[in-house]
Amino acid sequence: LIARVEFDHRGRFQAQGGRGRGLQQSEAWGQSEPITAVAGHSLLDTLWAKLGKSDQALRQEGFNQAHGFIQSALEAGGVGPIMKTYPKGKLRATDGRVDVEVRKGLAFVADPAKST
Amino acid sequence: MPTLFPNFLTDDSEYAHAQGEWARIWEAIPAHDRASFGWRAGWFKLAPPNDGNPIFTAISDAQQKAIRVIQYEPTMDSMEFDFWIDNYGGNVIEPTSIRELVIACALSTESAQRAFDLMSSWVVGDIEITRAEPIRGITRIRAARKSWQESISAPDAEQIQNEGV
Repeated sequence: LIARVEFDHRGRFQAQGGRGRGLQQSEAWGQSEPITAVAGHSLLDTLWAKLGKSDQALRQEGFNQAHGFIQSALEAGGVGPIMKTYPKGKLRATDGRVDVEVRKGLAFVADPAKST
Repeated sequence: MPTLFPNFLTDDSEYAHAQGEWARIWEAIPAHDRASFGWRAGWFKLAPPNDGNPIFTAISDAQQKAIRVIQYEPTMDSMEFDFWIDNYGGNVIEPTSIRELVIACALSTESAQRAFDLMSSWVVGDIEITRAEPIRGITRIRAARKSWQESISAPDAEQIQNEGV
């Protein structure tokens, strides 16, 4: 038997798009407390590090904007379920992109240890 | 090609009108098609900033399918439209993952028509959209249905469409 644990706060970053079948690399989180913005930035950096140089080059702007979204969410007190695709602007299926997926709960909050 | 609400990112009124246009496109899909699989608009609660990313969402929990529309400012006079199929919430093998139709476009009368064709096909699930053959199924649906503009202007359009499908 495989027990499935349903965390209250879940989501993932996914690097997508590109020619051919396209890239499919992701980094997910699932935890009992909202993910902090710091941890979100770190997870996004982990995804970035998994990409080859050419895949990084195609998604540089998208990753920059995704980091910007995390920061905006932090300033707003966190963000609930949403799906955002970056970069903004004209986007085609074959363009390199990164998705920010907050599936459940809250994400990109301030570090509770620092706010007390 | 008439572009609709080209300044929607800088003009709140245009943004509201653009959102209204997407709602009209959605509501032009026959009500019984939307109801048959429990489709509902508003998959996500959209909050500022009003960046068009996304500008419209819908979901069918029963089908584990969704629609997400990303609207961007026009960059040229010709139609700007693309789409892809994505998975939300994990890989396709995940039991709770959701397959979503993502539409990215600048809003115009032509892109609205094409979005309607895709969305109405996706809602009833009678075609599989693939990257290799993105047009085949849509063409078939187009032949069977009136345009969304016609469907919202004619009171009996839904009945005509249903007979045609």
